Amino acid sequence: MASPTLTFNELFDADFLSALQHFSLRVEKVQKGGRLAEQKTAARGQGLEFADFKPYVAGDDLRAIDWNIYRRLGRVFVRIFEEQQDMPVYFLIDVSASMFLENKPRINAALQTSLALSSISLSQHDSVGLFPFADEMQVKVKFSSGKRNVMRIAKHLSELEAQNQTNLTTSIHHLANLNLRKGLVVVISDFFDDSGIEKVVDSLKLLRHKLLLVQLTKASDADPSLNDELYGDIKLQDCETDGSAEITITPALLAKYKEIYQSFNQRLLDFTNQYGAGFVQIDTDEDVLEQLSSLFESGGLVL
Amino acid sequence: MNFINLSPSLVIAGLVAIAGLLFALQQLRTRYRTVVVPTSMFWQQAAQDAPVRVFRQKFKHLLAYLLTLLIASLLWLGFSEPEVNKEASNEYYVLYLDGSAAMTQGDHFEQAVSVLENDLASLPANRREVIFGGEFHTKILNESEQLAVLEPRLAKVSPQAVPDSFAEQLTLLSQRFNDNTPVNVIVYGKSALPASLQDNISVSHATSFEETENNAGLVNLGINLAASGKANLIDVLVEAKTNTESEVKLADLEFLVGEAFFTPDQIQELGKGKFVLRDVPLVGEQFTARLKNSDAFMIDDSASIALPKSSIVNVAVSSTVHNSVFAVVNSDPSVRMVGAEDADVVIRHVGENFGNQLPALEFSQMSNQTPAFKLFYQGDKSTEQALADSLHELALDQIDANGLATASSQPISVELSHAATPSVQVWNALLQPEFNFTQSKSYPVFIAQSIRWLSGRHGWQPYLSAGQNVYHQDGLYALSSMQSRFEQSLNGSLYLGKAGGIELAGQRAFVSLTNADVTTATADSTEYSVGSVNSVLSNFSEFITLLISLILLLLIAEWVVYQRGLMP
Repeated sequence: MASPTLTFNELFDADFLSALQHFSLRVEKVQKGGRLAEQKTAARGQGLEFADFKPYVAGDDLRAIDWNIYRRLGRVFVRIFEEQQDMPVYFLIDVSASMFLENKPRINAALQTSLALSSISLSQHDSVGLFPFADEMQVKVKFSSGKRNVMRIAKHLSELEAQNQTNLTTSIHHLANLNLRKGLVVVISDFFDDSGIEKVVDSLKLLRHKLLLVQLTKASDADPSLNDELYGDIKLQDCETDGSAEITITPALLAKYKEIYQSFNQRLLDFTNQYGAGFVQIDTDEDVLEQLSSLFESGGLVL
Repeated sequence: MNFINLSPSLVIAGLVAIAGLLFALQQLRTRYRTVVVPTSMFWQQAAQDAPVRVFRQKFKHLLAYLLTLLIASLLWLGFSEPEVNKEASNEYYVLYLDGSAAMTQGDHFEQAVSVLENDLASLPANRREVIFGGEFHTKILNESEQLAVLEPRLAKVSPQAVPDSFAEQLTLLSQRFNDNTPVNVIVYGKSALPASLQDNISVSHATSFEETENNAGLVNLGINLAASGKANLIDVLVEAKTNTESEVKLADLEFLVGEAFFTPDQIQELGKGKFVLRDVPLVGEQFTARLKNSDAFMIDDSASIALPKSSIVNVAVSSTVHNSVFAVVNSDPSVRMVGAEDADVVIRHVGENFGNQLPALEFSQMSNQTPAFKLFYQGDKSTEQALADSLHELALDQIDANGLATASSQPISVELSHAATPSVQVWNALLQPEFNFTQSKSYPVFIAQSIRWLSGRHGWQPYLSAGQNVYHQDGLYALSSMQSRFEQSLNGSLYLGKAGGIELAGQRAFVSLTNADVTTATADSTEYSVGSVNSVLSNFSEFITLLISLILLLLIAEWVVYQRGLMP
């Protein structure tokens, strides 16, 4: 049963957004070809950060001639600078049924996280794209930049509705096929894809973007005994597949479950370590802002 | 406790309860709680990978095992009739169901039966028995016998018009349990408890009833020869008592002969409720004395007795017979000398044409008849039976046969034959002086008894009282010639069990309760030990109840623990 999600007013909380002003989201280098912004690129040109000198050739900007060198060496050199451009940030937001289940549904934390990271990106002149997905990916916002678009992003987020089954693999394939400018892909999901974590990981490898995986969890995911309903003889009804399983909760079964879940998480972690992706777990029952604050410990998150 | 000892109704109720419980458990077992989860893939994988149960593996669940063991042990204890202590295990229970007249009042008997059935369920089957004390003492449930057989047996017994005979039963029990086995006799009824008991026997009441207030009843009813000397009349004694200080007045009584009310010509009041009805005619019907106003305890409010028929026998005596015969006949007040045409019995010589076809006492020639006494009897009795009867009824057993044999130089014998008309043939020679028979005291008895035997007139009993033997009287003076028949019935003592009509020696007779103890009984002053008895009996039930309650609690605990996944 879907639980009520955050409304626009609840989501677009001024206090929440203002608390994010000190945070920045950087990658080591973004692909050249973007607009001038704050992300480092390999491009040389206009900028504030000095990079090197080069002999003057016709056509160079006369303002870049270093007259001190000319006085000492008698030759004309010009200063060149690193050009800072914007970074496209693509949010892959899980809107499958599992995200809308339970008390304090995971989608709330997903929306808050999306809005927070969007706000940070927009504030540093990066562009933002929204790609909600369930059994297939939608293009809600392909490109949006400018601080004033935070409200627009929040409105789009608050309008997201529950879809069907999670199919992250297909959605990632879909995103990869869009041939978007290289940037940062933020996957916000519980990663409960029936095709299995291996297929999810394999599909993530196809993306040529930087990756930040945001796993939305609850404490009872790792330890089902914390869920008051999970004891004795129960019929487990999968909210997405309508499939069911009649099981009897026993200590042995619980132990096996924990083992499998831990293996699931470990596989995600191994992948992010191997491919230099970011990975963060957000407990949806806890305060999202606090958890994001710990993520941006030194004020910025560099991937 | 076991299931076999439960009554059919309880067994059925138990089955219904078990069916309901199983149904509920079935519902609980099959009705899975549906829990919607974000994903079931981890659970399905875990269920597939969960270790299957194997016969031997490391023993991990000691507490679960102990809990299960405790429940099973309690169940075993609950259904295996645990013995609380050694002393209790040796005690034998005799449950005495009083079926005497006192229990006919209201629903007292049903109450007693109900209490008895309740108590029985709690007693060990191998150390209890049930005795019903009615007309006779009957063991209606033996030790180790299943309770299921008791109900149909109880349906066949009911309180009867008999006095309480618990004391006799207690005597029998004392003889039976003379080995110091502790015996707990529990009385379900009103039987009076004895003052002293054998050491190993304890007696107590399991039931108590309210005293019957203002009861009156007949305690004596008997007949005797009329004091006026008139052979055709009789006197009747009637005595009535109350269980209070008051006395029963004549006005409180009424009398019936047959179905008609009867008013005696003369009634003598002897005081204290005793009355003699003088010169009541011998009409051969039922005489009943009863209270005009019945009280709550009705069984002693009336009593009946059979009045004999007229005992005068018309006898014709041939002039040819010995003079001594005339003397005996004339001296018998119940015999009237008449002509042969009016006679019931004739006395003549064999072959003499005198009152032919009538029952006859005949004198024969010794040379023509081998046996000294030859009897021709009616009816279908065997020869041996007829001989046994006749020896006593004709007072032949009182004759000095050895003396007669010596005098006659021949053996004195008796021969019996079946005939349409009864007759007695005896040697005429025995009447001669040398035989000294006519001078013996047995001679008039023989003549008188022979006349009575030939006439077919039966004797009568002065009274017949329930719970007593038939009153024994000797031949001639008793006016009862049937004593030997009574004796043959029960080896010499005919016990009259309950009040009511009976067939006695071929005659209709009436037995009355007429028991002063029953009529004047008040509430037993013995302290009732119902509480102590019930506490002993209920110890078993309480123990079982405690066990079952504990088991249920443990099962609930196990269910919760199991559901919480804390035990396998």
